[in-house]
Amino acid sequence: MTDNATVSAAALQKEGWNPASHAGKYLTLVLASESYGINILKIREIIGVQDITRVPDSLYFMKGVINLRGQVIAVIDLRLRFGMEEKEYTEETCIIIVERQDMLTGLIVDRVDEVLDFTPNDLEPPPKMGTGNDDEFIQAMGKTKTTVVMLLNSDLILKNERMRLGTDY
Amino acid sequence: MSGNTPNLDARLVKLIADTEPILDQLGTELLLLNGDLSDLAALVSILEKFTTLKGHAEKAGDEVAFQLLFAAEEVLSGLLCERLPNPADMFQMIQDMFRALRNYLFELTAGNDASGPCQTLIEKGFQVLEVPIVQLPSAISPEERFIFSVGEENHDAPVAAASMPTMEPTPMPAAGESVPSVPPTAAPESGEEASTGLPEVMEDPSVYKEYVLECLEHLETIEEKVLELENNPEDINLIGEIFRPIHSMKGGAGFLGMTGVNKLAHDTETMLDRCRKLTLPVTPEVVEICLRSIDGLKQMTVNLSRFLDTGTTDNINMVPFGSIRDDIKTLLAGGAPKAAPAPAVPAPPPPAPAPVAKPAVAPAPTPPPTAKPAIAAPVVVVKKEASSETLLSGDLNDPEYASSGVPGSFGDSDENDLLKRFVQQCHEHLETIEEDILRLEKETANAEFINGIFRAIHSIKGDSGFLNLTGISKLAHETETLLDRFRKKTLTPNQRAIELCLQACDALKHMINNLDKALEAGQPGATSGAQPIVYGPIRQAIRDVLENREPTTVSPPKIGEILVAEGSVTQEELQTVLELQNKPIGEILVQTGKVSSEDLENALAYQEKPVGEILVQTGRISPDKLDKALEKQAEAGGAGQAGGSAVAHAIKVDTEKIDHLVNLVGELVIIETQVAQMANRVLGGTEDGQRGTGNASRLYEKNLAQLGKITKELQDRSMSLRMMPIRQTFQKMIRLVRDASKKMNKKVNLILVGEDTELDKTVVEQIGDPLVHMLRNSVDHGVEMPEERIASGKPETGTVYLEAFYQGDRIMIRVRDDGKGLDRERLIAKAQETGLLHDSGANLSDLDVFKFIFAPGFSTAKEITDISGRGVGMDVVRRNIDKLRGSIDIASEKGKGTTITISLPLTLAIIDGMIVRVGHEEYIIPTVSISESIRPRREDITTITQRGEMINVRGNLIPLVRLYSLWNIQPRFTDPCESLVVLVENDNKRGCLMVDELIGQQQIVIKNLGEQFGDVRGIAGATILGSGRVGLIIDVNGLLIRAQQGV
Repeated sequence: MTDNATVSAAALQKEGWNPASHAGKYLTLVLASESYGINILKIREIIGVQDITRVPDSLYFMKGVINLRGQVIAVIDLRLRFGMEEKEYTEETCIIIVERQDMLTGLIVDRVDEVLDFTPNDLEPPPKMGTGNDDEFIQAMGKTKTTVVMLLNSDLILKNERMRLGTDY
Repeated sequence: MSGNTPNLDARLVKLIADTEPILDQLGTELLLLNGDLSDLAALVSILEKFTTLKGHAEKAGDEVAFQLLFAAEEVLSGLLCERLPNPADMFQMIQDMFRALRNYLFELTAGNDASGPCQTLIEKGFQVLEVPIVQLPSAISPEERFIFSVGEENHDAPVAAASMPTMEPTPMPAAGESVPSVPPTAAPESGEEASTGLPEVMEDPSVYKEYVLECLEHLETIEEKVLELENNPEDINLIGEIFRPIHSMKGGAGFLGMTGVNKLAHDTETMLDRCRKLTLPVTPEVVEICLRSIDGLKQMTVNLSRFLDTGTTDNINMVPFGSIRDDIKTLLAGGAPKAAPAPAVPAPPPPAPAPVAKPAVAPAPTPPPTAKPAIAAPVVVVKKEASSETLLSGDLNDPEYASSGVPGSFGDSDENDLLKRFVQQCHEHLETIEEDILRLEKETANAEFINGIFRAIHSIKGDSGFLNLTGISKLAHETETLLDRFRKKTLTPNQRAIELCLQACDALKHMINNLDKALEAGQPGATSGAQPIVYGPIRQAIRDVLENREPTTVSPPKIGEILVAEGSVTQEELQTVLELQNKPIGEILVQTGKVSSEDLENALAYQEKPVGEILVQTGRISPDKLDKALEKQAEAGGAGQAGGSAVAHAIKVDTEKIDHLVNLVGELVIIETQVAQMANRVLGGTEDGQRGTGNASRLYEKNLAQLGKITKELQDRSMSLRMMPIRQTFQKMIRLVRDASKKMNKKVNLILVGEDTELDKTVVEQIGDPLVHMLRNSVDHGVEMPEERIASGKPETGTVYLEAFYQGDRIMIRVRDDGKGLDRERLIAKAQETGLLHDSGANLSDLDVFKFIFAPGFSTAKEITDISGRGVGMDVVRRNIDKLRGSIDIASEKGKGTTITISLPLTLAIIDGMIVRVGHEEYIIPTVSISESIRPRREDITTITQRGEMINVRGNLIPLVRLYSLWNIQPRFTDPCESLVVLVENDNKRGCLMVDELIGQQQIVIKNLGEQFGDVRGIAGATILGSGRVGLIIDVNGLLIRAQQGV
């Protein structure tokens, strides 16, 4: 998986990173006191944590499925996805329902913060070499006056080929 | 301004309103009958209509209509009992009577009296019947028919009528005036005739408001139809559709005192009536005038609407329509050489030609000829004209010869939408057509099929003409002509004609497909690269068929005339013979000495009775048989009427909408359950069922129960929306098997079973492809050549069954043939050859060997035909079935046949499931897979090396599946003797699933787990449980396989 990650990051660099293509409004969320952003155009809604049904034989970060108004939706724990330690869900824990190619998926995050508008000037390319598992999903770094937000490529997170790695027994 | 507005007697208004729909229907029926007096059911239906009409006329007290209908009814029933001579003439008279009546009522609404032609016919009719003319006691005298509203009323009108001169000097005819309105052709000196369209007197504005709405709707329809008419000038039905709303508008306008609208509508209607009666061709001028008239009417309606809204006449302009009326008159005058005094007097019935049938061979009088030749002849002439041009130009750019079906250019998006809808409809139509043609092939006399095909082809023709799809329209037109001949029974649907229909249907299909593709690509004709479809030969062939049946086009000189010309007989002799011919057959027989007058009397006595009674009397049939036949006749009449409206019973709905609805209903069910549970708690109910006792809580409970019931019903109903019968997919196979077997020179009979089996729409759509391949294989490789079959003692015709049925929670689709079966040895040899098998294959089960046929590129066929043999088909089958998460089973016996069974899950079906709990998780086991649940005793559990734990259930050792360890769950019990085991069985595999607890049985909806998880072995899907939680459905088969592998 790390191979894939470096390949995609490298590809990103090669294609030429364009700040304008990442500008826009982002919902900021917090995972282990770090701030991330997801483009609001990808977000369908935000709900509280629900009763999650575990699905056997799935990857460790796939928490299972929930019922979103009659629709069965897969839920990913973003902490686990990014290789962080699992944390007990609290009142603040949220599921962000994101959309990719008409398919909805829930992302569990510690809490959601606010919506920020990033102009191309606020954006920096993602760091070339990161230390965490999350940098393969980062498409840009958004600067505010006080902090830096890691802007996530939600499509990459949801891409099912990645998630199904290892499920072929 | 005092307009002499005729207000009809209320009874007449009612009469006209009541009879209009019946008249329309009657007209159609008469037209469809086309002089064919052998169609008893149709005649009876016509007779009934006349009787109904007569009833209306009697109630209304209109003597003319009553007498006319009385005569028509009697003559027709006389015809039915075969007691009247010259049936063809009699029928002609009935038709004339009908026309005269329609015209009479029609003119009545305009204040004209067209009873003249009626009187003549009434006299003629009663003369035939040999009874004195019946009088109506409470008849309205002609003078009473119109009540004239006089101008004095105007001063209490809300509108100052005087301020809006209608400049309409034409006086309406006085009552009883024998020469009805011939409005002056010249426009009045004061300028062109014009009107604001407002009534002189307005009593109740709400009536007018309703009228405006109605008119606007009518005008929209009319305009649409007129434009359609422009492209299909021959379409009489279209004219009728324009005629009716115009007529209603006219009636309303007359009733509401809006002279302008009334006059313009009346004239337009007159013109259309002439078109309808085919006495005026639909030329571009006619269409032009119609459009102008529509504009005028629209303007006047808008004026009225504006006046109703604002209450003033400001900003309301005069709408000139004099020139339109003048043009109509000129047109009518030009169209009919002798300007009829009353507009639209029916064309005098063509003098019955009374062809002399074979007098040269036998001068003795022959039975009166039917009117058929006279009616059929003009049709042929038209055909001949069309066929005089050659269609075999061989030029692909010649629209008469070939077309890709794609128009040269696409218009705006609206038009594209139209085209898309057209494509969709055509697909449906073509399917119906094909199906019906194939059925027609078996039952060539079935008018229902012919009519079905005709209607569908006709719609395609109409729509394609409207959309300027020349190629499609041309071919459809030709086919329609052919079918029309079937319909009129002037041509029997023989093998050749049916083959042609199918070919035409295919060509149409290709063109529609081209169009579809071009639409998707957004590229019109020239650039789409669509192949032109050559249909010239088909059209030519159709014409050939048409002409072979009707050898001559110009009606041949009558034999009598030839004889006179040749000098064999003199003119006088011929005359005598012709006169003889007009006499009833009985008289002639007596006169020529063939029978005695006594015999004739007896025969006539018989004839007086209805045909059925005679049959009984002469011992031909038993009375109860007659009753049955009569019942059938009544049914046939009823069925005809019901058939027409059946079409409207289905509407098309986007699947997305249905899915959304299903989801919402699902949510409703969940919330309902939660509310009910909460109510129990709130009302003080305890877990053991003790409830509150207050009145309020009882009522509350009752309502909750009701809510639950309704929700359940709602859920069931909405679920069934997505389910559709597999019929459509199956029907397509009839054609496939037919074509394939014809091509292979084999005789194959396809039998469909379980066409009504319902399955999810997606499955129905995706199962088509695999079925095509399976059936082709059966026909091509399964069923042997006829000689071979006879040699091996089988019936010459092979049989292929295509069956669908439910088995447990699965849909089974089975293709079964009685052909030569699969050859195990050959399959093994081939498998070794292609490297699929490396050993002798002796230890392989039959099923494993048979499954080689699903391998890509695997084919044992010695030669590749254009139907199959490349080894692709079965691979496609397997892939498609895999996609649907189904499985395939093959059984075959050499020399006896092959059976391939596809087993499919119901992706979105409701299944009965048992909810079980393992630790914190809840799972659903499909109830059909469950044999029983047991709590095993210690001594029942044994461990067998290599095969794991087994439970002895009444002597059978069944493997134990510990779900918690398989799926890594923290369970309540780890000891099978403390927990429960559910004995499941699927596909000949059995297993004991260990669960903590059985929760209950419930109907559940299978939902997809979502792409993110891919296929989880052992899980068939998910569902929403009553608690709102997602529960996973166990795929028993997958689970057992997985447990077996010990993963």
